[in-house]
Amino acid sequence: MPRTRPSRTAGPAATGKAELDTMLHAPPRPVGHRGEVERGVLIGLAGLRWAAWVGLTVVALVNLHRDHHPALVILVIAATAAMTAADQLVLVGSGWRAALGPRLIGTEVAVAALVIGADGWVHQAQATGQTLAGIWPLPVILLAAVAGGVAWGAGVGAVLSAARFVAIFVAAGSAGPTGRDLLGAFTTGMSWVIFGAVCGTIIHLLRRAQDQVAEAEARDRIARDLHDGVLQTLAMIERRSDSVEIARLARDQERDLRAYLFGDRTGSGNLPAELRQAAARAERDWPATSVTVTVTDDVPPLRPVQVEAVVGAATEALTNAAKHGHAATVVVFADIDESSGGLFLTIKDDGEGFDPATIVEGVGMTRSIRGRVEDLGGRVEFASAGGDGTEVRIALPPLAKRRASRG
Amino acid sequence: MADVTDLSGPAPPAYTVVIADDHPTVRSGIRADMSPPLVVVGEAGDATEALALIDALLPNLVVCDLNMPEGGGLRVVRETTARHGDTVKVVVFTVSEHERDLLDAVASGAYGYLTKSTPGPELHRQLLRAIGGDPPFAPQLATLLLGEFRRVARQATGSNPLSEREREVLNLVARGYTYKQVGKELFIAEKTVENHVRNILGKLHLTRRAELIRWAADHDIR
Repeated sequence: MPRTRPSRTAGPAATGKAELDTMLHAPPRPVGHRGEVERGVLIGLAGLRWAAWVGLTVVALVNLHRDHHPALVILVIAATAAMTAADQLVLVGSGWRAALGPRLIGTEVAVAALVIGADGWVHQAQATGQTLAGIWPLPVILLAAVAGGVAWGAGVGAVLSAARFVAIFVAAGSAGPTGRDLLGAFTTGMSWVIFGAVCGTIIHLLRRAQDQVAEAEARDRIARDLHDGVLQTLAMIERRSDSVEIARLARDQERDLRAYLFGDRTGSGNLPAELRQAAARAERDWPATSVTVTVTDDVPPLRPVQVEAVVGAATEALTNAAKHGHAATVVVFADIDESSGGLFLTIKDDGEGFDPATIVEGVGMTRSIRGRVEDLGGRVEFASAGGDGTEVRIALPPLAKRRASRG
Repeated sequence: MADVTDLSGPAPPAYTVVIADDHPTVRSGIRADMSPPLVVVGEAGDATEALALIDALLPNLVVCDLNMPEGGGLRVVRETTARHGDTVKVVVFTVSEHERDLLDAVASGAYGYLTKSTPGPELHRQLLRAIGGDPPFAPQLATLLLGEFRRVARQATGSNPLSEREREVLNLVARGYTYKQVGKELFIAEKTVENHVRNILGKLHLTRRAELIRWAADHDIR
């Protein structure tokens, strides 16, 4: 959703009520269509607000005996508590967006200005170095930034720093504020403006990221709707093509599309996905051989080292089936070994096969497969499957018993 | 089709096939792979059309996609099995190897299942075998069944509905063994292997039905 951005950015401390008024009377701004970012920030903000209130209350009560108008200090405590509670009530309900509306934010700003003003008028901030306001203005500025981006964030920061200056002049009375106080107020004010601007920027970036995610999701939905047709066509090309190369191309594309659509993650120790990749590689390298990978849902959890070893072994077996066995089809099957709870993996081809009795253990292929699997405490069997073709059977012990069952 | 010049004997048997798939490309692809004795007598683009054709033509075989308008292949399988039993065999022909729909289709009486990437000659061979009583039963389906019966064992009855031997058969088919090879491996006849597979499918049908009934009772349906 396109978002209209304010054409005007707030200057530093040179803003006042006029600025606030224009902000408050601006037409309601479109909030992100789902508002996940906003609501998340607001909920996080609730905690910060109570923390700010607790800080304010502690400072006020500790210093109550030396304040000019203790009753007014109590009033400030009550007003801020009411504000925080009201804000939270709004947030809980379905109309939580009102928390970002001009009315509530205007009230927020007014209460914050009151608290800052109280520092100068009723509270001896200068004497104790402890201000009532403390971090109270920060959630307010952040709220404004969520509602209106950089302009509102920086604007409210500027309004509150103006209030700060007023407070300092009030506190100093006719003598006027000291240079140190002015400098302090200036630094604080600047940091509020910058805080507001930064928050606004971050919210803007978050929204953009959110929009991008929404866009990606939409694309994904469309892709899924389309997939049926494209997958079907690819499968047909694969089936109908007289050219081995074109059939292979279609199959590759089908696999890629499938992996993309159904989220076959690779490289994360995901055995089914990695076996499928190994199968696709084998089919690319040996176009006359087609590989089926089938995996039950009961495959036990494996460590990445185990996945790597097993996939490596399967790759060797596939190469052997295609290159030496001239197999037309190979089935790779993975399941739980029901007796041990470990992994059971077979690679079976319909190739020329061999006589298990005469297999030479020195041969690179078998040694390599054995080496990979036995290093992890597993077992390998080479069998002539039902008289024709070869089956390589791999068993890995379950994770916990790996050491115990070794050997 | 019988050769007109051949008047010496009865016409060689022809087996009628209906193709149901919402993609014209797929339909023409399958049609191109069919050659005597398999004869395509009708094509349908959705479940309703398919069922009308099946009722009218009573084909030997229906090659049926799963994802189709108006109820999909599942509806075709259910209603065809209900109306015509075993006389019309519905073979599910799908792009997907993982769908639960597939299990439902098989449980509802689909005679077999082939993936759409099955090469033409292989498709022809498998369909002929299906007519001869040998359901096309890809390793992927055997794998799905292994998982399904384990799930049933875990959840419902506590014991696997399959016998030890049936599980062995299923396991070997999942690993890519042909029935002949399974027979050799288990020292039983190929025919016996086919019987086991039939029994496995029958049990799937029963467990799925029992589950449906239980589910319906749990949810107060009827």
